[in-house]
Amino acid sequence: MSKKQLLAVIDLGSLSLRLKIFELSPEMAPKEIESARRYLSLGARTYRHGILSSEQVANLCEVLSGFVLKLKEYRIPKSRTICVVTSAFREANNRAVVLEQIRLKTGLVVEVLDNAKERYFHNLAVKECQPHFASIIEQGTMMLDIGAGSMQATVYDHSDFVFSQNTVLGSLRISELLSDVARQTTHYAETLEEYISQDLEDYHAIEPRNISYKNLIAFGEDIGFIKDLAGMSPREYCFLSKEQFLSVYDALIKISPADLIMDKEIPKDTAPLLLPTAMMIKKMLEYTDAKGVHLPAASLTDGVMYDFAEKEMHYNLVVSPKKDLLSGARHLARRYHSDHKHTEHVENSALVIFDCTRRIHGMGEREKTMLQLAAILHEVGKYVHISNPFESTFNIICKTELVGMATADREIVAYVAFFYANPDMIHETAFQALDDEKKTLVLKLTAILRICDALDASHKQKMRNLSLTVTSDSVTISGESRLDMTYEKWVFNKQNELFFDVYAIKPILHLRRQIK
Amino acid sequence: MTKEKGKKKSVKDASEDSKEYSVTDSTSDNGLRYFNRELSWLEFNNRILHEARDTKNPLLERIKFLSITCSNMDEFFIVRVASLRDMLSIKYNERDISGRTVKDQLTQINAKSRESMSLLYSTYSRSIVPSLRAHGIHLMNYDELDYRGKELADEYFHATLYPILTPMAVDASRPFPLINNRQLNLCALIRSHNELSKTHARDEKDGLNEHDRFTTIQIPAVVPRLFELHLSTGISFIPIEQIIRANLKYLFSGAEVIASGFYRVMRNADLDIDEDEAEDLLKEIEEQVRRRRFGEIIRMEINDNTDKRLLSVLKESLHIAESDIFEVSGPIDLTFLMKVYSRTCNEYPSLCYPQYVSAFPQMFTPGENIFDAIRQKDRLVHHPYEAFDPVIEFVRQAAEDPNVLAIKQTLYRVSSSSPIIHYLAEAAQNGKQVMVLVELKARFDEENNINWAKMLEKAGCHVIYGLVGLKTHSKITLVVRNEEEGIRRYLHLATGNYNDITAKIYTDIGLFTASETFGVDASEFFNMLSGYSEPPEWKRLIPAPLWMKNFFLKKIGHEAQNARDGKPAKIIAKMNSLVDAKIIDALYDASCAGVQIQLIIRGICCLRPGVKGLSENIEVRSITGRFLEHSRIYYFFNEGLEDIYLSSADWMPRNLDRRVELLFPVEDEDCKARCMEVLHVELADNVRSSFLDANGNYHKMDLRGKHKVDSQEELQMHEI
Repeated sequence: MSKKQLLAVIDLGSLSLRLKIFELSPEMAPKEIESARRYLSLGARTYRHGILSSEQVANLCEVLSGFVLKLKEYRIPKSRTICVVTSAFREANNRAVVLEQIRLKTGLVVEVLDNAKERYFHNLAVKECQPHFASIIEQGTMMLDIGAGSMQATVYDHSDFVFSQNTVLGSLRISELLSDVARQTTHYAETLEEYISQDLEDYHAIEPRNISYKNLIAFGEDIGFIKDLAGMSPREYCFLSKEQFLSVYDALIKISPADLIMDKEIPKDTAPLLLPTAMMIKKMLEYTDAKGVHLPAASLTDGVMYDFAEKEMHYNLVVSPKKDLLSGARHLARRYHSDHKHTEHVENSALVIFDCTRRIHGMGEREKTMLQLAAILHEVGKYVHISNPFESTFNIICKTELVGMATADREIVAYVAFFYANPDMIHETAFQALDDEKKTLVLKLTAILRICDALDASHKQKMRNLSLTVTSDSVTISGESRLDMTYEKWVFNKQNELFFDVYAIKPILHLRRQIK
Repeated sequence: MTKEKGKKKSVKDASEDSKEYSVTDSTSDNGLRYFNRELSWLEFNNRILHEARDTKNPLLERIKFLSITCSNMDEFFIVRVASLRDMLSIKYNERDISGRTVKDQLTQINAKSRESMSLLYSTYSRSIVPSLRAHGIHLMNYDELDYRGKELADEYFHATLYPILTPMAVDASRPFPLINNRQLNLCALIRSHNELSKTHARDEKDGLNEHDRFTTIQIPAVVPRLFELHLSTGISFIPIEQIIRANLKYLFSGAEVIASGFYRVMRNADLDIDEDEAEDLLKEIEEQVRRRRFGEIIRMEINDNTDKRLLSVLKESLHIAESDIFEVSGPIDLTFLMKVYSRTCNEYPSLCYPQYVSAFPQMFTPGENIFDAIRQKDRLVHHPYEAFDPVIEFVRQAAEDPNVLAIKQTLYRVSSSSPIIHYLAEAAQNGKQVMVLVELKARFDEENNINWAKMLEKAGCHVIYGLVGLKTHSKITLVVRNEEEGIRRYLHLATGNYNDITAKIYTDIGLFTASETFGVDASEFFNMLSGYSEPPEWKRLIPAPLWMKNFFLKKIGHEAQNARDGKPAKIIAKMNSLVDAKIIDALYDASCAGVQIQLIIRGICCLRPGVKGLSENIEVRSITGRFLEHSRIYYFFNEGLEDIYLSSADWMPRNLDRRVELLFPVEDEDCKARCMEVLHVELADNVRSSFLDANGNYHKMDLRGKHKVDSQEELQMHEI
């Protein structure tokens, strides 16, 4: 009947379970047609004991069964139902068993999001839901994603994504950790502030310098209640001036969680979390020059939906996630003093070769982005260790969150950036433990990166106007140069064996000397 | 000592004030601010009785009003009085808003209800019975029958009644049997022929003889209460208990009936379920319905000429206090008059209201697709002036429409062969997701509702029973439809139940809308009821218990502020009852600020109007008549924006604090205009309206020289 398609997104968060049903069409912006939310504290036990109890799982399945009825109501098939879980499950040791129980009892297949993907969805939601996001990030902007288990600070400047870092400053985690202190002291707020300040100092130590923060955007599961306390609509975007926010903060300092439950009708699991959340915002307000805080109405479910809409319905997002991802990688490369011109040359060569050899390698956009990232980051380890930088490169990529990229994909990027200079090390145990599909992908990408690196072996960007001729048994890479390319040719001939081994096609370098 | 004196003085002052305010007789200052709700209810029932006494009403309609007055009184005792008795038994010492203790209230209820009962029976015997007789409808005793009549009655006794009667003797080995709530009984003293001669003298002297046996017989409810005889002069109705009494000798052969009489008891029927502890609400309600027979006796009715010996046994065996015995001078339980009405109304149309056929709703066109119509614009229907058809059609089309994905509905009271239930079941069978919230605790409809719930479940509907501890009283239907432009929701929201039968008698308003904001709220509302979701933030709907009361207080406060700022301010509210003290206080405050407040309250009103410095800007009227005024309309001037809301809720704590109710705005200008029209016509009414004065008394307007406006008649004309 309708050309529009329905998508259901279920988020099993640390504090609540949320279902949203969206209507998607290629022509129009996605529309939320129904939402349901049930408060169920899954995170508290996980953060303390590392497991989800059988009682929690029973409650969870009961709520999910209700959600499943909603899916039936709208006749939404499984293929259009995305069910995700975050830190409450990530950190639960009995995660696999619980997920299987959910599948058996409700038929829902649940995807466990790693932190990077979760933050990516959050950021995506904020970018789409925050009014005037594109103009806000023209100036230094800090986005605080305050989750129950951790906080992610993401920085934008001059319309570019700069940096994103996760800290374990989650509202529920802090509240759980300090719950004993709260019972023992009458100075809970001060203790809380000291705890948060200490962790934020660690964060400030690694954040990018020379950014003048003019905007602060905060979002998270409990932000709606902060808006409510400020007299704003919990479900709508609002901007609170510094004064407005501080008056809410002062009120939260004075009122106990018990009174919040009684007087303000805040759910009992959420009430103790509001002060830690507000305190994190307050600390960041003090740190930045922001005149207030933007509180958009964005949730993980929105982010999942926008991601789906972009991929499946070709919906145009406000800010391309790929742009952010690459921008973040470039900032990372800059932070580790990579040779910017060299990495750019390698990146550009890699893109041309990838595009011209699509018929040979058969890879898609996701793999292209991995190659691009590996090209940007392939030398970051040199900052740490000049003679054996590759292991450091691997470690830096593995340990640095690239928002928008899943951990498993990041690992592939790291292997590519590691092996491009050391293909002999593919027998290394950890790599061999990967499944065959991943191993093949790493080798296919490494083969391309390895010859691209050779094309600028001297780091002098001698080669220009790269083009390719592909036949059934060879790939001829042609280019022009005003300078002597003997060194590059020599390196190329040394480094093209892997390409031949992987694709069974001989890469040939054909250079035309330009006359000055 | 001084303090004690002061206290006494204040009591005296209050009692002096009470001379001025006759209904209060209170021992606290609150008595000056509020009327007692139970006494106000008795006033309401007297207004219904007034309809029965009003000779301008058609005769058969009058007997209907008399029957309603009687059944209302029954319900009042087994619910409200029982509740007060419960409070008394646990020594609940709090005073009500009018400042009365529980004991005070019970005493005054007792006195006032005796007055009402006396008036009710004198109306029956002095006015109704002779008037009916004049038209050939005879309500007769067995003794009044002629020989042939008695012969036929006796035949009926032997053929039909005798086999189903079970006399139950009471003696040392046989304890007093369980007497069912509201069931009519015959009691008799029986003495065997052997004992008769020996004990006669002593009997005369001592009253009850040890050889006399007390026997009680339940008057069977499985046969009609009235035995019908067709005479040349018309139709006669004889209560079957009279026929049984006349033939008692056949039940006690070898013994003589030395005294007999009738009695009926009322028991505490208040369902007080601890829902937190009830594992399965459905089973608990079934259990409660069974247990209802065992409730404490709070009232016994007997005939005023009942033999003292019988009375003595009843009092002793049933542990009834003198004050709980009501002597009536006519047949016990006059609700049989409703049967007389239904039996005679076709033969005597001139004694009934002229037949009224509800008009086809003016905002709909016959035969149109209801979804197309609603999508075009909001539609409003006013029952019973307009037919209930669109509501049924809404569910029917939804059940059959292939584009409909889901139907959700709250059901409180439905008719016994409800087409809505039928279509909901059909929808489920057609593969639609049907969710029905059946409120099991609709008083006296529990058994009926359990049956519907089971039937709907069998048909594949998802039946839920609402939120623990809260009765779901809202009236809402949501239809989710998958259309070319995407998902669209259609709503019907109403002030009255989804009951096609009562919709012919109750005045209610329903609104159909396809507004997206209403639809989103409706989905969230059902998600909340079904437990899928926590209460969200509302865009248009204002549900109780969490939001509605504050909303009303804000709206009233806003009008008060406008008045204080020198702006015009006005409130018109139409409801069934006004009891909530906070709302009343807000209205007093608004009145003092200068807000003009007009209240149309059919039933209980605890607000004292027209008191200088308190409520001088408040006018309260009650409209009673052919149709039961049931719609709830709330109007706020709001600086000329003229906000109108409709609701399932009255301004009572039970609606605002303990029930799931809905209040919703009427936004479409045409629909608003229709609501305003209803209010204006009712405020112009001077025939059906009774006006409440500061003493708690209701008065009809002196119509001499005035143009008469009967709002119900006017609205009938409007909708044609």
